[in-house]
Amino acid sequence: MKPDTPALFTETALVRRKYRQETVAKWVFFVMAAAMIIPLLLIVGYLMVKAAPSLTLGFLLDVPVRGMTEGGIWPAFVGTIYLVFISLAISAPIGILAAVYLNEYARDNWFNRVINLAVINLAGVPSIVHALFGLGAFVYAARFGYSILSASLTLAIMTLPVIVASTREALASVPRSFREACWNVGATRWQTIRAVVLPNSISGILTGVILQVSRAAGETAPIMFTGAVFYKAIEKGDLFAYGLHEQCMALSMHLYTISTQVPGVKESIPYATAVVLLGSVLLVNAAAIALRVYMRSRTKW
Amino acid sequence: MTTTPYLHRILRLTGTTAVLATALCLSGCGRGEGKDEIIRVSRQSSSGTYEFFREHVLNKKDFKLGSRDMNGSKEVVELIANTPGAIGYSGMGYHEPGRVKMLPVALKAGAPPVEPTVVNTLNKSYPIARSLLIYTLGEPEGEVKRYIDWTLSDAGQKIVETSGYVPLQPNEHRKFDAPAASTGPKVTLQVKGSDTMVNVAQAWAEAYKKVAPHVDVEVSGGGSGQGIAALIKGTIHICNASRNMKAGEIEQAKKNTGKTPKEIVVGYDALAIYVHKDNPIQSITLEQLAGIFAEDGTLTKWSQLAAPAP
Amino acid sequence: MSARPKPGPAPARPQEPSPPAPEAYSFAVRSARRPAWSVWGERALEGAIYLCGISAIIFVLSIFFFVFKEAAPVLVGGEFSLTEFLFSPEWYPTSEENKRYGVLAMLAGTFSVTALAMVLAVPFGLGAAIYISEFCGSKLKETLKIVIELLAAIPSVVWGFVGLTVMSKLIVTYTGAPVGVNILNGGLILALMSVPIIVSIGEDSLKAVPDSYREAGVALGATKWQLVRRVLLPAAKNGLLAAVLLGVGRGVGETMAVLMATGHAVQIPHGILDSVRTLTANIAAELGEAPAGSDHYRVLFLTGVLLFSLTFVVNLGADLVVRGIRKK
Repeated sequence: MKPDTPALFTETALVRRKYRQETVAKWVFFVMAAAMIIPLLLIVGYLMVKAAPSLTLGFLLDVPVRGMTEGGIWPAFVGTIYLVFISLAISAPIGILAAVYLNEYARDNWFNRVINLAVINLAGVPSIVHALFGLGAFVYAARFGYSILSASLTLAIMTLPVIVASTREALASVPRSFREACWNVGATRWQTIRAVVLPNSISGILTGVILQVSRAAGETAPIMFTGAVFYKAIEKGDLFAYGLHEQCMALSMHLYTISTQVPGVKESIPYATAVVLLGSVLLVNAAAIALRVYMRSRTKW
Repeated sequence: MTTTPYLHRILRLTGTTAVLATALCLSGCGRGEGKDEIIRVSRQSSSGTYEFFREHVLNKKDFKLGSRDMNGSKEVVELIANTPGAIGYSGMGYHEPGRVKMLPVALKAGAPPVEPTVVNTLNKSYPIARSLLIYTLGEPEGEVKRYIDWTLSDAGQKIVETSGYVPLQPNEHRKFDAPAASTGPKVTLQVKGSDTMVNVAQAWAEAYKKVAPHVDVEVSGGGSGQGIAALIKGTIHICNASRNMKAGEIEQAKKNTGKTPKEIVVGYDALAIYVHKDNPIQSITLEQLAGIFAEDGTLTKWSQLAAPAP
Repeated sequence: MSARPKPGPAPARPQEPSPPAPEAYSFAVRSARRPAWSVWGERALEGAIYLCGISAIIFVLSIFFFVFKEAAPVLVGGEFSLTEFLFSPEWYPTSEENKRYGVLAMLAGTFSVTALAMVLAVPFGLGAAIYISEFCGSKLKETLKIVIELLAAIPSVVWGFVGLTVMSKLIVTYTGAPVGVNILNGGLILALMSVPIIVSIGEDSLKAVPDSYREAGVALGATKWQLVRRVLLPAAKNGLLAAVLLGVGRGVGETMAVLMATGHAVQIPHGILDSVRTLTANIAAELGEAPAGSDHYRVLFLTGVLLFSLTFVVNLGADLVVRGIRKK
């Protein structure tokens, strides 16, 4: 930018234009940022208003009645809990150990770059392809049939790469000097990991795993063909309703079916189901974020 | 940095495109059909309803592409209720009075149009009526038999009626011995198939839980095709179907499982033709339906049906 | 963000649960006295860690293997032609007389919905990333980042439900389209879904530009906008491009939302108010309908292979672009 005026530090037309442009730019970007948030609020607000007549504790604990046109969502809610916990019980250990390998053991050679690439691509595989895989591998090839087991395994593989990524980030945030101090007193690699690295990164790891609760709870496509059913009769409030080799209902699937397939559903019920699904997902996420913010404020390095 | 970065150009380009697209949309150039256009609402191809319609209305010809293929019978009715120019087909159980109307159907031009009612379905005067079927592998036994007996009993048939379909005639009902069925070890019955019947199957499962608490019935939809495919693989106990199994499918089931599929009629359905409630059209013939839906059909406007645009 | 580690502070927690035994004063002695089970246990554990480490490769390969295995027989089966599969818009998987498997219309559907979503999401996403990274204070920044994280967590079936109920009514009212479930609906929903990923990756890549660049710009008297335009965008362009690519990947792979919001009609679209069907929605709607082993079933798996390859290329591209910045 060529200064075209001899007098320094005075406001020239150029400078004024420059600042005007900045103000405009700032507002444009602000509007763009706001444009993402406003729909979120509007949508959540609209869903809440529409759902209000059905949003009671009874709705959560009751079973669907009269051809799923009335009543609650308990079987679907329990089914989702089953799927989420079983899938995370499978993917969390594998994912955490994989991240430990990648962050603590792996050297920067071609093989480990391939592993990295695999993790990234696993994260990008469309959920419907996971469904195809789950159907081909678990339902048919492994003969698990349509079951909670098949669905959970499919979900586990889907959530794995994100757990690996978030755990790696948490492990990488532990300063190297901590490890060096530990090695210097004669600890082996694993002893160092157990005594120093994991205790210092556990909150980050947990946050990553908790965030996957919401991902697993919200997915529909992978479970639609591997173990979620349209309807299953269980007792109201029964927490141990499903066996590992049975199929179950799931919240996400339930929302899909009652909004596309069941006639004469009371208007507020699909909205209320959406709100319960959205609400539990956002609550879990908010908890994870709060945990992260809290732990970050306590970090001593 | 002296050259403009290419990202910059991308940004500018996308910005321009966005503006153009919005302009296009607002000026109404985004095609979309006019008021007179017939909007065809159909079903996904795994549905028994889809196959039944193809066989009995289109004479096995293929559907014209470009119809909105919904995944559930309810979605069909829902879309038609919100779309003045739409026409679609679905089971009579999905009727929503006041939002859509069911058209009387005539066998051919000049023949009297027939309403899809219970009476007309039973006496077969409605041209596109069909049976609601369930299939099992071999003769049903044990808990499966009890369950099926119950669906054919007075209580089970009452549910068919409340779901909006036509129950069997009273003399076809089976006796059901309730106390005998109410005990036993825990069993899971897997039911899968037709979307038309999924609401009946669900209501059965719900009520049967009270009759026999030890039996868990798992109900899945997905379409008659999916149910039959699962039956052939032997992964389910009962298949709901709104069409008959084809000879090839029966062969395959025999080959795969060594058992012959057993067909049981559990009720009847009139395949209803739905239009928007404000559509002035009074009746429709099978030929006209074929003209609208078939691959070589030429009817694309309501005015061609001698009906004013809705 | 992560401050340089200060040398010195000991780990927060004690490393040894019990005080060292007297003979442990010498490191050599102590490691020699470790019981065998401990040494072997550790080896076994490290073996397990290694196995888990390579599990990602195993899973990616087995996904490809299983999906391809189900699809493969149709490729050699004679009647099926790959050219027809890719370039014919006619999709008649269950026809009685003449079965035709052409996914061109679905490809067009996928691309039109994704393209519209990107046209909307890229400017807004990058703009928001720039705002968050450069223009707002730290409090607002934290809040916005949390909101974006929450936005990213909304399940796709909820988005689909919103498209089906709320958005379709709005579209019918404001555009006069006869049917509210169409490309515009799907595109808007997908845009909202892919904005968070574009924002977070975009923000990361802007953050990765060294502060010295900004300082140099400010020292020359540049305003923030000049800084963004002349310094940050060129410096972060690879990261931003990667953000866009990942957004595209998300768009191509999304299933439930487009299944419910795009109207599900097999046709080559002529405008943004036409209904379309996408590759993913097609699989979701028809998978399992044909008995396992039939051509239709295999063609659906082949569509899966196609999708897998598409997203693989997009993600690989994004990764290479990101690696490009790291190298620099």
